[in-house]
Amino acid sequence: MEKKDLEKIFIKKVTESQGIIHKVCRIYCDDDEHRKDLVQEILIQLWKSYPSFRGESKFSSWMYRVALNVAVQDFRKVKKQKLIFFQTNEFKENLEQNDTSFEDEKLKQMHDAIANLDKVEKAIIMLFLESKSNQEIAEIVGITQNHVRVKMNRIKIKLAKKVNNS
Amino acid sequence: MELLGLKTIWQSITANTIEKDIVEERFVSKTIHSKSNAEVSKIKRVMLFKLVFGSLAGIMTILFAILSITNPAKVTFFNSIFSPSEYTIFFGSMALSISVMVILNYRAFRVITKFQTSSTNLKDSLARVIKVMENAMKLNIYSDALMTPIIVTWMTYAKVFSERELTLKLGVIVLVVVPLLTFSFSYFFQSYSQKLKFGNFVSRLKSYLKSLEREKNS
Repeated sequence: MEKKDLEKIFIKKVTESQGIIHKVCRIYCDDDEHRKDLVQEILIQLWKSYPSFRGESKFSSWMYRVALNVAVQDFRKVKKQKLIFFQTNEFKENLEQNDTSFEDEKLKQMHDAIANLDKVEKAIIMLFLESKSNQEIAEIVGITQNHVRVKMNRIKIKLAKKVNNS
Repeated sequence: MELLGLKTIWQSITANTIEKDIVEERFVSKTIHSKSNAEVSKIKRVMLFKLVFGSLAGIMTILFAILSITNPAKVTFFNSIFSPSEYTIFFGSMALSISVMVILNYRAFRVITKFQTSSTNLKDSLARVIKVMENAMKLNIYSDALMTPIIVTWMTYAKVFSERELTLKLGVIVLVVVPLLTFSFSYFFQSYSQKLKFGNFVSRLKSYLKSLEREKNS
């Protein structure tokens, strides 16, 4: 297949599944500028990695793998780590809207807790929130399913602790 | 219970929020050809520059080393400082050290290029990027630590011996002490500089990798 055709297929597929990139960026980035940079970096690395995608795994799993690799290895020096995603303007807007479930204080604290997890834990919790099975999480992260369960338990304890402390 | 609750919230909020982030095919098409700002890409660009510059410098010094043997009359730019045999030693030592640097650089560059076009799982990817970064940092430290004493020694030699003969006492200083001192200084300076540039990045990646390797102890 010619590179031009390959590029066309790639662009179409990635554009269709771009939600994965935005979700990863939302969970890892502390501001809009950083988020835009990370979207760009993930797109570049996806394109660079695309020739190695042989369809052995699902396209979405491959996208998660590359996007999470880029996000975890993203290194930006910031003066102060801000809490993310749930504290962005979009979230605040959503909070102010009618959906009463967002007003639950306990859940807001939970959101803050996610922002305080380390990058690996964020990857695991994000895949969990995306309803990935333990097997899929294990494959994307590169650990055993048993280790995923251990990690999930630790994350759960961390989140609960954070909620209780707040 | 909390996690399941969070899952519901996540699905609801991402549906609303991500909709605002959606980009068109045109944006994807434009973006995929732009310059990467990843740390690995940054170090790769430095290596590429060193590779090109080092190759050119290496070829030139080899040519001058050969010319200083085959046709010494043509090599005249440091005539007030070097004799024809000194020219050969000077260019020979430069060619050798630059060649070693270029070969090491090329090997590290190949590894880093292969790394960028792979998409392994997170754990393997972390292990590989740490290895690549550490190799690149080592290369940067040693190539500078190797080149600096050679250049400084020759500069000292040219300065000290342009108007006097090489005696054993001064010769020892020039040929042993100066290179050793400059190597040590250069090594520590480069180690500090590399640590400053990439040390935090590598340490952070190592801590992530460690957290993924703890299964046996958990």
